[in-house]
Amino acid sequence: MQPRSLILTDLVKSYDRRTNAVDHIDLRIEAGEFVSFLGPSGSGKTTTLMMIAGFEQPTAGEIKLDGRAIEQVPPYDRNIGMVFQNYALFPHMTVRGNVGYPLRIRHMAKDVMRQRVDKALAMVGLSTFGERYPAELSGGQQQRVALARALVFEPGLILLDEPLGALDKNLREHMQVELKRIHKELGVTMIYVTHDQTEAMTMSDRIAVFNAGRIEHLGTPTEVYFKPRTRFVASFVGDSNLLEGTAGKGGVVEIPGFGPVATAATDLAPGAPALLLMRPEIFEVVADGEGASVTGNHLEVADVVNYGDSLLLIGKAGGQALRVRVPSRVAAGYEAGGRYGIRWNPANVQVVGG
Amino acid sequence: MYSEKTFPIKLVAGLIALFIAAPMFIVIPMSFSTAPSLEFPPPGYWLGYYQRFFTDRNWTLPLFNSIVIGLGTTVLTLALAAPAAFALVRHDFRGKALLNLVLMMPLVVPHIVMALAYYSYFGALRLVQSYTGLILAHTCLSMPVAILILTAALKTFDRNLERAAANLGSRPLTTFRLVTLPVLKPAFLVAGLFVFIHSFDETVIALFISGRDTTTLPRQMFNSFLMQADPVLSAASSVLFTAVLIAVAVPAVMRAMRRRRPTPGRA
Amino acid sequence: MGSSVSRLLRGPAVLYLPAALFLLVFFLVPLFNVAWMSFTEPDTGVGNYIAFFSSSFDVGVLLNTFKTAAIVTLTSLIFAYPVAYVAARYGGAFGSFLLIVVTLSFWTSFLVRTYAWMVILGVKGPITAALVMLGWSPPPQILFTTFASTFAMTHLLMPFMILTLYAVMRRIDATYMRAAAGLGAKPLKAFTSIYLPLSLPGIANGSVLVFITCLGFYVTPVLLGSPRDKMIAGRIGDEIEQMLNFGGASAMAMVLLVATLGLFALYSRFFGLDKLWK
Repeated sequence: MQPRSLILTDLVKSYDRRTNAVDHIDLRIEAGEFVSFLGPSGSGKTTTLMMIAGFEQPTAGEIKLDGRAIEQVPPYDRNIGMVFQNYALFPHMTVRGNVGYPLRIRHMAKDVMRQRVDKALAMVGLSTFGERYPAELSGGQQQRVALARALVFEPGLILLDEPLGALDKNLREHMQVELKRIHKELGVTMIYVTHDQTEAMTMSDRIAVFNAGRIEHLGTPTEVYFKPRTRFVASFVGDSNLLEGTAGKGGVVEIPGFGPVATAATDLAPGAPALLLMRPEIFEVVADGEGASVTGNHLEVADVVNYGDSLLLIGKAGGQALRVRVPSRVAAGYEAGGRYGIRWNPANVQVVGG
Repeated sequence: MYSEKTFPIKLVAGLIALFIAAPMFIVIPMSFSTAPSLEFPPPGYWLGYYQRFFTDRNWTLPLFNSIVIGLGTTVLTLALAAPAAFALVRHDFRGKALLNLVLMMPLVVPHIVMALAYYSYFGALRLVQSYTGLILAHTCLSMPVAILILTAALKTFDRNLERAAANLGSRPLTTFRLVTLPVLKPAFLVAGLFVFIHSFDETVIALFISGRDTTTLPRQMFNSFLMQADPVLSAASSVLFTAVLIAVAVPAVMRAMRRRRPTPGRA
Repeated sequence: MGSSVSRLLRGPAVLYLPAALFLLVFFLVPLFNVAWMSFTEPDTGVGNYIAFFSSSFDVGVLLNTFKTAAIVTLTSLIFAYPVAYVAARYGGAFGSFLLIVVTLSFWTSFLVRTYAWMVILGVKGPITAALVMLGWSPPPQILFTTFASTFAMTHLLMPFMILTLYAVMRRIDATYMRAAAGLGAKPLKAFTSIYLPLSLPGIANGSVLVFITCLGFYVTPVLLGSPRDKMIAGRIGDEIEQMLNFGGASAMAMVLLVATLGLFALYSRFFGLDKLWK
């Protein structure tokens, strides 16, 4: 199928004419891309998706599919595939009936239809389930049927509205891999709505982080994680330490109590307030006397949380609340109440918005 | 471990249920009785009254009339109630509360009041003793039942199904025909069945506005009650009870059988 | 005008107008006609009402109707509650059995069930036979008494009461009772302090609906009841059929209607009709 491109220009949706559920969004999605809309509930990501699908009318702005404006095109003429959060499988039709529905609507010949349905079912690994009814399938299988139904008419753009939200953790991880495989195989454009940052990180080419109706950051997973544009993005994506301070000379930021922190930033105006992002995993815990920490900072541990593969040490350093994550294999004997030296590589310290 | 004693209360409930069921244990044997008047226990058994019920014009005509009126009422009620139910559930409009009130009112107005109302009103319209008059009256009285069942079903209908259909390329009318209607079919069947029974059983209004050729079964039964002579009544009662038994039991059995179909394990 | 009609036709009006107009013409108008007749037949004025309320017989009928309705409501509630309770709390095969019996009875026509009681309570019926065997001679007259009709109405309305109670009770979370037990409440205390209050809406729904149905009950009192202690519906029937007194019948119908709707309005104010079936 031919992947399609999508451009949103100054898109606005308001339900009450006072507040904007979607607030002037600009977004350009290239053909074949996998883009996630990540954000908390009520951030406007689903509303944006509904406008793309045609179930909501934009209050203002433009939606262009392959360069053609489609705001006035009814949903049934848009030729966009969609996987609904609750799957929305037709309960009175078998799996074949569901997957064949879009082909039946397009008056396709019976044998072509059979072939394409077979192919779609094979793609999602449900070849032997054609005669079942949705109620006779597990959640994961229903999810696959919904996916096959969205793929079978070769729409070129597929919207997925939190499609894995109802599945348990193992199945969800399995389906993430499956989805990525299908994306690669078909080369189709996919827009994936989720509030799960791990899901967005592992699957996407790019992530659009939504907050309060706006896209706060659009970038690759690495960019969003390591160079978040805003405080919201820094705190929503991943575990974080956000420290407020004042910029000094040469990219050094003075954090009250914690001391001066060197950063990679080059454009900080001395005296200006600055917000630092230090991910918990950039720290290294060192025994006192053994080289000691570069800065002389110590973490006073109040709590230790064991994640199995890592330990999270929660405590304070120089009066600032700090979370430090250490891999289990090097985390020997850390206890609440302990006091440990910490160090980090200045290259890993980010100035948020910088 | 301490556990609540549930036996006494279950026993009480069981006895009350027996009391509720008891009358039918009397009526059904009675219908095979050879006694010409109400007598228990019956002196002997035969099928004579059933034969009379299914061959005597005094009984077959009312049975036929009741079925015709019941079917007419069902069709007309569903035709009016279905669109109204869609309006009530899916739209907001001025006067919605008032409309709801009017649609529900026939549920609480006593039938004798409506009997009087139709007796004089249909008298003026020359609709007394006609199928039309009874169908119109029964349609009004069945409206709340149909509206309640259909709006309840519509409220739980997942609008995403319609969205999915549109997304897959079907226009609104096609969506309605291929998705909305089939999914709501059970609710329509249930509503239709309830409306039919409602009309079929209705006695008071039929008593006042049905007549000779349009006499309904309940009216015929009521009259033979008053005369206390006609033992066919017991056969008629048993037939009606059996019809209800089938209507209640068949769906229950079908549900139970569907549940036995193999269900897959979790993937 | 033309444009407002076409605008109307594009909105939900197309959907609800047929039903609304139908009920207007074939329900509301005939009903208003009854009200009209009560003030105009045979003479204009409130004569029919004065006649009704100054007749000690008719006022007696009205009071008897309310009394009977109250007795039937209370009795059917007392017998219905345990059945609904067991079906809702313990469920299982026994619960299903109870519900099936109740549903079957509910769907069996009033007429058929009334007939059954006529057989059972009749002179040659099993009850009389049993009383004679116990040496009660001559046996008492049971059929065609107020007792017979009140008893039968209670039996007739019990399934309705049970299903209404059950609709509320099955939504009462079983864990509440376990929590109460866990907090130290003995079963009876847990019932009176937790379950009973939570089932109150069901009691209110069932009682009001049974009471209202009883007020306008025609078939059973006419067939099984005493000719001396009439209820108002039967009285209205007599006025129409035997006296052809439409004005008088209409006035009585209006009294019955106002009592019914008044009660119902009062009840919807506190509980709301739509909560019933949700």
